Amino acid sequence: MKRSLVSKVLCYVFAVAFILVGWWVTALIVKSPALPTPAATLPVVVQFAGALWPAFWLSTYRVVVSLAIGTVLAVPIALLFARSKRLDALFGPVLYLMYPIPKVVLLPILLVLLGLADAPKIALIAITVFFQVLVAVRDAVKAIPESQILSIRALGAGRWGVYRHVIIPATLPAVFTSLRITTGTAIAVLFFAEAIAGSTGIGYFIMQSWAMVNYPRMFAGIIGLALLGVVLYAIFDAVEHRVTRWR
Amino acid sequence: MVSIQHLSKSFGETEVLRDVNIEVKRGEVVVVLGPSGSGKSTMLRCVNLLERPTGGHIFIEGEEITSDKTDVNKLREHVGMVFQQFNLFPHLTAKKNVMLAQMKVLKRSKEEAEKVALEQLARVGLAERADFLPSQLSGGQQQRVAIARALAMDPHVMLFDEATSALDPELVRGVLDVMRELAEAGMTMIVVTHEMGFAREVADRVIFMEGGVIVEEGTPDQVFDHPKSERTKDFIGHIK
Repeated sequence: MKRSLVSKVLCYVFAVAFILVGWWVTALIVKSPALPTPAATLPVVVQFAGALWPAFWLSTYRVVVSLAIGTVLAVPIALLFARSKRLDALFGPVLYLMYPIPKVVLLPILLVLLGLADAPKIALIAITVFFQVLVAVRDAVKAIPESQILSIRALGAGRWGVYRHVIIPATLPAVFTSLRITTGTAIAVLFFAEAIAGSTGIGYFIMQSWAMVNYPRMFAGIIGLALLGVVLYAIFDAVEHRVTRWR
Repeated sequence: MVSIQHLSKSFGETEVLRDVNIEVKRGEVVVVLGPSGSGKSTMLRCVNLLERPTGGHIFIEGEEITSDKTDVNKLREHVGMVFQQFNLFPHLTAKKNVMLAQMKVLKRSKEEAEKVALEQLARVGLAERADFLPSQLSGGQQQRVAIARALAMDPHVMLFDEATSALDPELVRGVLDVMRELAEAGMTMIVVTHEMGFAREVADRVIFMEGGVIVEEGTPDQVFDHPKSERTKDFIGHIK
């Protein structure tokens, strides 16, 4: 146990070193003020941490609330659709048509309807998350072998029992996998929404720094956004390991 | 004990079972043979109403289960079923797999369910694996847990739907041994299988089905050694 923990930590140390070396080499090759070396950037990140902090928390709040809303809406609907042939036949084509539409194009509409503050950004990310989680969970439910459902029905389980003891445990991994995948997309959408509308959040912080040609400050923002993604990804990964320990 | 009368089942236009009649006495072991698509599994699923028959009647212990008034969940308490795929709850240990339905369906206390679970796991030779997760067990062990899970519900009749077909050959024996012991203990069993040795040794009666009808029925000696139908002869010849 201790040994595997040590080797895991070593792997992460290697990964961080690999990324830093890659960054460093690229910066030396590109030789542009837009891409400073890690050595030049890290002190600046510390320097701008105070300014970045409020933006970081605001962006964290927006993305976490959006992920929660999108997931809470998507999971029950996906469970219901996947087990009802009628609902799936009715709404399957709607989902098929809606899923590939890049949801960021809805931003102007949301800005008109919901203003420039948190609401349109949260709505846009939640819509993006909703569709990704919906499709992943629906597919996971459909992949459950019918014999698995039959065998619990043969034991006397009713409709709720089938959901409680077969469908929900079987789809939990899909929920977390889709959340991990969606985190990257959600943060990209967050950046886009904050960069375009309003004057708050890390997205705005980055683009404002870019407009001021303050590249170190811009890099502090980029690292903050990257950190947000990594932390959320790691949290979902850890929770998934915990709740699906049987795998 | 189980009386299947003029059973028919269609899926849309496709007729899967046609006028099937089977009588199973208490303590009797009936083995059903037949090629894929012959309707064996559908027939078995009709016995605990996992499939609703299109026509005919099924009686269990004198009570018509095909009547609209039948309490399906009550019926399933008395009819245990083991499938080809083990379908254990992957997130629960072997013991908890055997306990769950007892507590939820039979409303047994946790202590009682645990006691029964340990008894049944011991019966299938897995007492020492009670706290293992399904992923830590071999296919044969998982299938034996599935049998223990069904037995824990105190069924009056057990249905086996190709219970050994998904297993590696070296794991089949352990499962068949458990089924053999059950038969010796007087359990009423309807077994769909391709295990000829088991059928010959354990069955009181063998039924050969094809195309949704019963082609031949008799003692293992009659069906295996002196089949009347050419089709039965051909099938037995191929799987021997």
